[in-house]
Amino acid sequence: MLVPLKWLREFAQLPADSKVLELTTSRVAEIEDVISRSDNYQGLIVAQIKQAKEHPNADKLGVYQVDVGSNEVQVVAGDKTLKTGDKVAYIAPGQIIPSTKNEDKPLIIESTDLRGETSQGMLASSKEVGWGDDHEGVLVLDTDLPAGTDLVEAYDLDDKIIDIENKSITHRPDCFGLIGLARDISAACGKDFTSPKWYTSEVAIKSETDDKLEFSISIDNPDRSARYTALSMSNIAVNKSPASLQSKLYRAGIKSISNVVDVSNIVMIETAQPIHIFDYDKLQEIGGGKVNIGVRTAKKGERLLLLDESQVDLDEDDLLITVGDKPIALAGVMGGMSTAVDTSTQRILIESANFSLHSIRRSAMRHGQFTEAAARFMRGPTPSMTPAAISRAVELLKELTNAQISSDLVDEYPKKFKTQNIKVDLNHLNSLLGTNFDVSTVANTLKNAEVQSEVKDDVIVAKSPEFRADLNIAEDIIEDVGRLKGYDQIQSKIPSRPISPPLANPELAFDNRLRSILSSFGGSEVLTYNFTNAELIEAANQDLKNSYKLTNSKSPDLRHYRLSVLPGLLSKIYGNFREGYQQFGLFEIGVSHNRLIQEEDLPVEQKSLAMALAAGPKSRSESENGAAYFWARSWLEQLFDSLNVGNLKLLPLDSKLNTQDKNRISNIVGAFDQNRAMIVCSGDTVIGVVGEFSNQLTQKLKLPLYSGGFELNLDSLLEESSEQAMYEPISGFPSLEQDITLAVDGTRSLEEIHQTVISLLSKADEVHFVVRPKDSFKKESSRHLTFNLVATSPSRTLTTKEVNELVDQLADDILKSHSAQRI
Amino acid sequence: MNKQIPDLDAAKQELADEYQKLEDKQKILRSKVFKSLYDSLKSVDDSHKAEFGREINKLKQEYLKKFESDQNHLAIEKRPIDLTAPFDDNIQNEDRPGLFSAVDGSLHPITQELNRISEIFSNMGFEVAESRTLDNEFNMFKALNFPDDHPAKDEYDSFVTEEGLIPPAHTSTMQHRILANSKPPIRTIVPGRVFRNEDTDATHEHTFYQVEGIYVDEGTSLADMIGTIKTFLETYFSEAIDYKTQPAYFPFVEPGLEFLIKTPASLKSNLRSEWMEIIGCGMIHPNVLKMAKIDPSKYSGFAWGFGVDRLLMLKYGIEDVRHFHSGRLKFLKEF
Repeated sequence: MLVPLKWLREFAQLPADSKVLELTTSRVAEIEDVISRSDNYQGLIVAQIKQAKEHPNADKLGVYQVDVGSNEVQVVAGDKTLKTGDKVAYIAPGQIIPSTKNEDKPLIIESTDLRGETSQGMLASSKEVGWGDDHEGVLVLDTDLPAGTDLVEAYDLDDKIIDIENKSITHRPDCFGLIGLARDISAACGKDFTSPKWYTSEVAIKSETDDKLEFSISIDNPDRSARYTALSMSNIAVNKSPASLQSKLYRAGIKSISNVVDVSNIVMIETAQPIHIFDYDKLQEIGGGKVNIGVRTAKKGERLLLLDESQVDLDEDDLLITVGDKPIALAGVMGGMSTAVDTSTQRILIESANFSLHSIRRSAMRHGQFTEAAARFMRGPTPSMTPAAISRAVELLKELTNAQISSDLVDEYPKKFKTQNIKVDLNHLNSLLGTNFDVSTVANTLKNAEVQSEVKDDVIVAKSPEFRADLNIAEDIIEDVGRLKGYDQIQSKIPSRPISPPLANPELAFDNRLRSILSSFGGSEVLTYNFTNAELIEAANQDLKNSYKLTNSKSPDLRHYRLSVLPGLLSKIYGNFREGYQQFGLFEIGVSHNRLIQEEDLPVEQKSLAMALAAGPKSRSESENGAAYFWARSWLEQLFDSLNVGNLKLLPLDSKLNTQDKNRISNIVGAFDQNRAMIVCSGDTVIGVVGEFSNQLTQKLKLPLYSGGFELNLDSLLEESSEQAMYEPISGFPSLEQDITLAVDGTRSLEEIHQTVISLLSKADEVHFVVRPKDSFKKESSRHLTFNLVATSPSRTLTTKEVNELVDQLADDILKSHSAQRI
Repeated sequence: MNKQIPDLDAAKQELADEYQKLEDKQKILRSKVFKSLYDSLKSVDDSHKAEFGREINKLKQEYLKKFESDQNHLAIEKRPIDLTAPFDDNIQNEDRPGLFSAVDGSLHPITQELNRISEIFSNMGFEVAESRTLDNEFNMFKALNFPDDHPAKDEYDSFVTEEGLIPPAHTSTMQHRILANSKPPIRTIVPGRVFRNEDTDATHEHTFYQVEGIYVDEGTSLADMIGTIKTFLETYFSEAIDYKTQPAYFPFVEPGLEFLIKTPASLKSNLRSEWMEIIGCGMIHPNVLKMAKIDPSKYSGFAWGFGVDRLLMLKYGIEDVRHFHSGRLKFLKEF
């Protein structure tokens, strides 16, 4: 919202601009910008017509001798109506036309010859100075200052205009008007403020003529329109506004249209109460001779042509103003074309009403009409100030035209606004702010903002003023006191607290452990979006129906919540190859959601760790390095080892699982190659999947063939890893180590032989064997498996002989059971 | 005058031979043969130029298709492997792929920063809670004293799901839960991911990070709040800070403030002498306390929230916020 400081000063005695700015930002509202428009008017001066004559060769041009202060020049203008003595805005040759200043090619005035007459400069229209849209004739100025005066000086164009951040005063409808802001800024400066008389004292407005313009008001929805005040006037002459008024509106960012429309804008800018002016004769015509104004919601199928010439299909929720039950305005948002004031208007009806912020907000959003009026109603002003706005409009209209009041004030006020008596305990105030104010300081601070109060001992009872919608509870009053005195004046301190340490967060600590392990393995942590697209979900073999869908995202890439973390992570691989990385590991700890998995009506936040390893053909290949599955698996095994989760178990994908386990990996497993992946378990709990990625994802995401990874459910993993591993006493006796290589049928799995070896060796008394797979060589239909055996005894020193005997026994046994020949 | 037309057949043969030999088949697309074909285009006379250009492009497309289909073909024809084994058959130990070097590893700057911030607050006695990434209207607005149909909601540009769930547009979404599930004294921070329906560019992201803080105890004041925030910022920036406040409106606090600081020396910014809005904060609104069954006549508290991304960008001089979720190693490995 633009606030011209000189206009603001009409309502309050304020200190210098710099002080006003400082105290406004620290105590009233956020200032986005401070603007001055004087640059646009460099070189424009007040000039006076000395002599006017007809152009000999052109019907529509006038030729003027103009006093520009230092000398007289001749200017040709497209306006023959100027008279000797008129003052005008003169743009000298070489200067820019203000309205084109910010265009790509600003127009520069030149000395020219117009059909045989020299023209040294330009006499500007309202449009050319940038104040209105009127381009018909030259703007006649209403200044008393002599020719040669800078236009900037004559019309306060160097006024500082502050741009207030609306959202910082969303709760302060009164501050959307200059009076409200002046009051608050004045109070922030520690100065007493008094509202203008017309604003606070309700003057009885009576008809000035016996020839009354009658009308009636009926409100169907008092919940949506607490008050509707109106007055009719006659003897109106619609005309251009005087230049001083046009320039004033311009400083507030509003274009001048006509004196009548400008009045409604001035009233709104000053009071924050939007008003609307109807053409009375048009109302009468539409109403069939009678002006019965109604406020009601729209009926199905009703339409309305608005002032901006847009045709609106009304919703049954839209609040309307009607005459004879016919829609004439979208209440609080915009008036309609059929009753608009135009140059022929002579009689008017002024509406000053209150509408519910919810109703206005919905209509404004529905029709995309965020007008100045809607912006003010959306903040929820009190209904108290509707008569004051009419008083001000009457005052201005009388100044500008010979308008006559033609009715008594009609005031339908079905839902009275109640002011409140708010009790504030001084101790509570000081304790909440951390201050040491006494009651009189509090009362005076409030009084400066026109909040009256009564003080009894340490209790202040503040009476909320008619114009304040935001004062309801003690904290509202405490906020005002703290704010107007200045939060920065409060001495800060650090709260004292007991020395008990804060509770640790095991989940976050675990996440950090994983991060640190995986980065020490050479992996890079990545963060990807929670959102993804339907194609990727489908490519990962996930059920799109299970994904939460956003209804309002602009991009299709952000339309769905991810069902697992890995696919998004995989989509980051190709780009890195293109940027020259040949082999790398990416990991992410992230959250996914599944519509089927909820707790207390909210989706469960499923946290998982996704890891993706990828190597280009230059660095790795299956023939040289074995299948990438084993690469992913080795990272997984070493991660478990570092976490000290001993019990890593892998199950084939077709293993029978209970429902809970199945659900845990149902959205994870689809990203993997079904022939090259295994289910990851910790003990008996299923926690994820490890392996190579599916053909579909590999192709879609252009993954290198040599890639693999895993995704693990972190809640389950954390549960598993939180069990403290027990210490086993170390043996004081040396261990003996040897390898054994067994030739087995090529179809036998390594793990089967491994488990057989372990179980056969476990039969030995007093000797404990650790068995580790070491090598596997496959030739045609046979396979040579080498295991490393480490034998220890807790009670004695083992001899090579006895260990050899045990291993020989193993060889014999396994030959019988598995036809495994020792090599 | 017919200038020399390059021998397309010879080039095709050359490409076929090269493709055969290449280990990384994709490299065919950057083959010298293509390059020289394009180069030779300059010397072709104008009447044939377009047609010849099309021929080269067609050839390139053929190889792109061939590469893609070969890759699929290769992928489909995976041999069976022993999934129970920890390593593949016939691969020597030294050829088995394993971990990378620790120097290759990197942690994301955002998580590092959130950890650092959490550590400072933890040292100041705050617990650290995690935020949700999908929540309901109640926690996003209602529990925070937002009236229905209120323009204050418009500031949040929130996404919404078909079910009416909301990706949190601020970490304050966790406030009600934390207040309702703990007993004063409450000291908790919530670092988390938040979402706004914005178009992305160098300074805008729909996904970003905030840290929420909540403090509730008997007799807690605005002076405590300013002191706490100031202490955190001075620890975070490792220097004394110059601060001021301005009034702000958030329905869940009263009074509501915006905390501003003079750009600290540790941030890479040209705005050294400028004030930057850094934290939104305020005394928790009595309605918010009441909704969490905390008696506002006995307890009071403050809350704040601030964005992490912009601080991080200023700290390191990061020029584009989109790097954070780009997954680009070029970016990530700098941290």
